[in-house]
Amino acid sequence: MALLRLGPGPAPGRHRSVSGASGLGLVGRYSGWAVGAVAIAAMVFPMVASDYWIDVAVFWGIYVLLGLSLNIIVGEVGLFDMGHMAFFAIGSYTTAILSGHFGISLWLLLPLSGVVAGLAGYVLARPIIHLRGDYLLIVTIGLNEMIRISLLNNPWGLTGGPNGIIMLDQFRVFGLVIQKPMHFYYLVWACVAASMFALVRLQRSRIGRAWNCIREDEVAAEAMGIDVRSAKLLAFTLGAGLAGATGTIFAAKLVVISPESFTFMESVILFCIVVLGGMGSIPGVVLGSAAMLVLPEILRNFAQYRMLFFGAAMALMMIFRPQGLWPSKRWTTKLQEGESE
Amino acid sequence: MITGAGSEGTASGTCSAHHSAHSAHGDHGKQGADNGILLQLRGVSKRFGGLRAVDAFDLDVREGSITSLIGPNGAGKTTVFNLITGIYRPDGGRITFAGRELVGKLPHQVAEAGIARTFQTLRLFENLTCFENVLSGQHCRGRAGVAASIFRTAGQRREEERMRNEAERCLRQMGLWGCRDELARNLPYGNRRRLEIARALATRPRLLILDEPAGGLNEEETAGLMDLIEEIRESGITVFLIEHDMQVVMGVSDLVAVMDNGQKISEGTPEEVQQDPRVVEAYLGTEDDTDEMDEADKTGESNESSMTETEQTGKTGNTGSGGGGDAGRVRTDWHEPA
Amino acid sequence: MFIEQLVNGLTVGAVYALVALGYTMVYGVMRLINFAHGDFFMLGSYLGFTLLVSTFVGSALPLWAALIVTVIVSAMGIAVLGVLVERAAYRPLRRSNRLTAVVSAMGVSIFLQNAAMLIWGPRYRAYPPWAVPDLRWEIGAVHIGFMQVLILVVSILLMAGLYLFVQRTTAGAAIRATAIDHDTARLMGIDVDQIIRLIFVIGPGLGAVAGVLLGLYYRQIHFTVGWSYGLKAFTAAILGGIGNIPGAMVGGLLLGILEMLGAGYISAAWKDVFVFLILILLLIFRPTGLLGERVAEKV
Repeated sequence: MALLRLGPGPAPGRHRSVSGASGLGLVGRYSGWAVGAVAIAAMVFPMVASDYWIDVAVFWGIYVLLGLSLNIIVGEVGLFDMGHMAFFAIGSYTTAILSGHFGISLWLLLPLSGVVAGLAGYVLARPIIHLRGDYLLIVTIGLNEMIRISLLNNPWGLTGGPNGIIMLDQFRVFGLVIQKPMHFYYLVWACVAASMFALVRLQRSRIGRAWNCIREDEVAAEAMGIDVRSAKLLAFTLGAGLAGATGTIFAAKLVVISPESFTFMESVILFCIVVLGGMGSIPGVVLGSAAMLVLPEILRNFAQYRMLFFGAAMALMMIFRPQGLWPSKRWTTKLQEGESE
Repeated sequence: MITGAGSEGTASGTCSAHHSAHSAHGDHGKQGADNGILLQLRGVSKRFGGLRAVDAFDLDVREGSITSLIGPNGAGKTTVFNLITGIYRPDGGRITFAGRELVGKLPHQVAEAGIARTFQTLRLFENLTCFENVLSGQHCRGRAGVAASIFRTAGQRREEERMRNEAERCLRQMGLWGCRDELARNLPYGNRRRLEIARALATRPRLLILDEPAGGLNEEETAGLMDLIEEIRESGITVFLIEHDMQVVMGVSDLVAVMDNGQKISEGTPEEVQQDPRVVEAYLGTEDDTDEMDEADKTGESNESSMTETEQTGKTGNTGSGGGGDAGRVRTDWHEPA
Repeated sequence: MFIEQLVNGLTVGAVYALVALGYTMVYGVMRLINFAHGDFFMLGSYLGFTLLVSTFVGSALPLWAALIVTVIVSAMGIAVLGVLVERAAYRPLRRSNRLTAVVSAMGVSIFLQNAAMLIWGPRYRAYPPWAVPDLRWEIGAVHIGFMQVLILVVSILLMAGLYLFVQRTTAGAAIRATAIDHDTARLMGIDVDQIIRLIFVIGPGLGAVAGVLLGLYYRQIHFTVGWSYGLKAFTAAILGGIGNIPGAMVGGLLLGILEMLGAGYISAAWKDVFVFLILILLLIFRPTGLLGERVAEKV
């Protein structure tokens, strides 16, 4: 049963909100008007929607962040990482433990968890980064399971075993405690916007191009002078780091974090978000997570059949639209001239 | 400049058996000993299982020359290229480039050192645009890191500008500027060959290694290619190529080395080599195009009947066809988005 | 203690091996990680349960016959399902890139799991206690139960049969040829679609047998066992060298033994960590698994 629960959050409910579905962060090349409209819709959304749907949007945002982080690894570089929840878990637990034991501010823990998870990503990926395709896939699944079981086993009494840890602290802005869904909504989607901004720029840089070359043909990339190993490690570290930082928000939102939020199934869902959205496509991640997370909520009316449809839809989607919901577009010189930055 | 170090390196690396190679250069009446030598191979060997793909191979490539490596299929020519570019590590011998040891360097370090290459079976970044393909060659000439790229620092912007100009120059040189925004996979075959050369040139190499550049080209395209190779040499880049098309080899080469069974059997000017009885013997009856054998020598031990196989080898649509039949081949690798 | 853990390990390992064969054969021929394979195993287990408790098998036949009918019918039923799934969800993707096929497989897996949940309910179901004769033997200080013997015997027979089939028959040769190269196999007159269909008969069939055996062994079944056992079996396939049939057998048995020894001598709670650690170390030092062959990449 637990396996079938998609979002780790409280079970949301029914009506469909228009602005929720359009809150895609279309940044970069898409026209200023569209971005502006989406931004305004996203700002207004929590003022008109019920708490319930705001919560759905918060978890959607968290999955967008996770999807973006995995997209660096799977989408941009083409590394099969199906254990990405491990880094999310490391970030969440880092936050919960450090906050609980030392009372460090969550604002400080946000980057700190990112650094810890990034470091873990670097250390864990170093020996396995040369593995190809499916071998990397199974090893990352293994890492995911190892970390989840370790958390479950409560080493040195740090993780609280299956019950997890309760977060006592919250984000605070000038005395305002961020705990209402609306506050979280703005926090999460602000992080999404910032991450997208950074990732789009990275995509259009020397580093992003090198990642794409590796995805296309590793041997040729190497022959062109790209340090494949370092580039892959960089992607892994950045991806793990972003997932870790997201873990801080997740821990604050959920209050209780426990190993069941970081199962292999969740990693699989993340992986599907990236592929369903369109490999390497940033707007694709937003759509992909909407498909994996928000759609099942909308289908909730069909209660028990929804996951059945959902599984079938995944297969059908791959057959009829394998490039993903929003395939990534290549950068072109025409675009460069039209760029207003 | 670097040649001083080069002569030192080779002096210690050579043994008596290699003197013949040196005297061969003397015969051409070009510069003495090691002075003009950009790339030097001494006693280079590579085994795949029991097969000696390359056996005590010596070669000098002179700076500013066009040198060709020819030989029947399966002779080990591409393996030599792969050894130079660091894809394989030799079992023995030394490879020096501009006086620096190459053995043990990784492929990207070799590229950084100034050796660029093309592949016998084209390896373009199929889902990237031509511009991006060529831009990739500039990667190793830039330094911008993550932070600089995100914040678009002044230095990063200058570097991007420089890279793009350089890529533009290479695309124009190859006559591909018009299709800069096309995806590589959508190009016609002749242009794909040119794109690969443009990409290699974008690394600003001192030595350009071409693996069968005329493979699959028609007569007109081949003539264009010959002009191009001359042009590249004129721009100061040394060219080293493997080629089956004798018209190209005899037309452009200053020096031709002939390989058979992993060994060098002859070396000299195109005229000299053509008259060498050993060369005639090596080619007799094997003139026709059967590139699969050349491929087989690279994969070495992969011909087992096991169900395992690496992903890269598994999925190329028509494995059986050689370099000539590649027009329109689309790689269906799993890591392409679609 | 040691011997007993070894026997327990072999028993579980034999189940892993049977499931791993399905992963490895599909991978060998199609380069696809069939994420739905664990669910074939799970559905086999449920189908067996339904047959055993049904009136026309469970109570109509003598026990030994009922067991045989259950195993065979379950295997056949799941084999049909396997062929259907291949036709519907994998064949259209055979020429596209591999990630799409993997995601499609995950979709199938989610579908099958939820179908099982809808049919048999979300709670644990228990195999009837009378289905397993309460026989035990004591050899020295070691206790061996009837199910352990049955599982070992059945799985060894099946594995040996499969090995001989693949190595000695024309169809087996065709499977091996297809595994190396589809196009060449086709040129040799092999009907590749037919071979893949055959793979999807054998793999899910063996998985279903394993499912029934496991149901009889542990009694309790749940619609999520597909994931957990599937993951273990897949690990076993990789351990032995994916794509390699004897490798899957060795990998499965080895994984079972490692797991039980890990549970017995280290800690039950950490046994899976131990198993995955070994897997990762193995892949770092021998990326093609124990019996997998090294293949140089073509440049």
